[in-house]
Amino acid sequence: MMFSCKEIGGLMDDYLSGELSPEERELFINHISGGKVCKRKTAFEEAFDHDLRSLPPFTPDMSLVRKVQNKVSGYHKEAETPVFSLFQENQRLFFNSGLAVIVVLLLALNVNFYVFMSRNSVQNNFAGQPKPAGERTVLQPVKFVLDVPDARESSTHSVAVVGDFNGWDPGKNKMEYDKKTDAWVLNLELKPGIYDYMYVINDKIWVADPNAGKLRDDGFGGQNSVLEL
Amino acid sequence: MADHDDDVLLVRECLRGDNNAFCKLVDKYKVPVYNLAYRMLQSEEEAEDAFQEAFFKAYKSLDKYKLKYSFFTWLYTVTLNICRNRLKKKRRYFVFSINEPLSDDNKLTWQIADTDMAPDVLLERRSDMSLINAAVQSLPDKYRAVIILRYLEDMPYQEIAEIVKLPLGTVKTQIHRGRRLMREYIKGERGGTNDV
Repeated sequence: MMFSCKEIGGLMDDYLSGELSPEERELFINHISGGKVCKRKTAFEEAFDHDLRSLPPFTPDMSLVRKVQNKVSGYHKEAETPVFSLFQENQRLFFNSGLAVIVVLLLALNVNFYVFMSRNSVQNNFAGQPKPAGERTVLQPVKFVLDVPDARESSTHSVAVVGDFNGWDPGKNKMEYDKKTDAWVLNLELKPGIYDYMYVINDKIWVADPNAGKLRDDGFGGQNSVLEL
Repeated sequence: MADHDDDVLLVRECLRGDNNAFCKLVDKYKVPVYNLAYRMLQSEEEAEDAFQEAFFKAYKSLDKYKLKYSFFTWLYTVTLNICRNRLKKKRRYFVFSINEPLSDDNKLTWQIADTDMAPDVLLERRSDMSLINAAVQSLPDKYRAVIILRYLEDMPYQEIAEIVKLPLGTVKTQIHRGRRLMREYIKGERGGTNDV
């Protein structure tokens, strides 16, 4: 078997990437050794490939990196105290003008108004029927059951549930093997919501729940099981 | 694999509330993320914005990241999506020229590994590298993305397919076409000759 010049052109990328089989590679090299045009083209492609891979990267300024790191480090603080931060940044302006007095008065009035309203709201709750369960987040019991032939094999030594509710961490919610039902089981209590989840067998094999009512694309070519509570 | 395990460890620490763990990830992947953003957006200002947006978005959606995937691949997907969205918005306001080379004020300095080269050879090599760089920048967005991932980040085809969310065969075709377009660009710039 021999490659034609046209076939050589089609195999060029695979040749450069080292993805030809040993037999194909040998045939490829035999062909280019025997013809000037293909040899020259291959030499060009090799040099081009090398130069392309040697292009230096654009690097970010360290001040930009620090900016991102500082933003991440202070994220929770910022989220918790935006009013305080704003007040600190602008305090000179506020104290140097008569506006500060007005703002403080308005704030005080607002606080009083909210306190008044919230007291009424609590009173209403107490005055009426018993406090509805919806006031607190009610956890929903969920039973995960994996009953597939693979899981019953003796080679299966661990199964875990991973999903949005546990940061997709296989170390967090391990299932237990139930001899009676011959299945892997785990009971959890979750807040109402929609969760994507999967099972992890032996810490390696990730599978969607074969009994899930709904599946959806995970953005990486696979599918997640969907749990709606 | 050890690299993946290190990243997973840092992600877990971050999910437990240690933001410094994420800062380590920022430090580790700052260059490839910025490089991708700069090459896709072709503007320092846009690249800086996309860089910040990518890391912050990744930080905020860390609970969506699946530990079985490479963190780098996931971060790259986030960055590429941000760049694509920015390019889409950009096109709404003016026609984007695919032939527009990098601006002159970019901070790129060429580093040729072999310093024993004769000055004239070195100058020629620099010129070659500038031309190849311009050829990359001249590509339409979809080809540029896969070419950057393949040749500048040395990613396997399968990983690229996951990032750009295209079948493996399509990715290979796009890379092949991208290379052909770059060759044509270089040929055009050199007035017909096609030697590197």
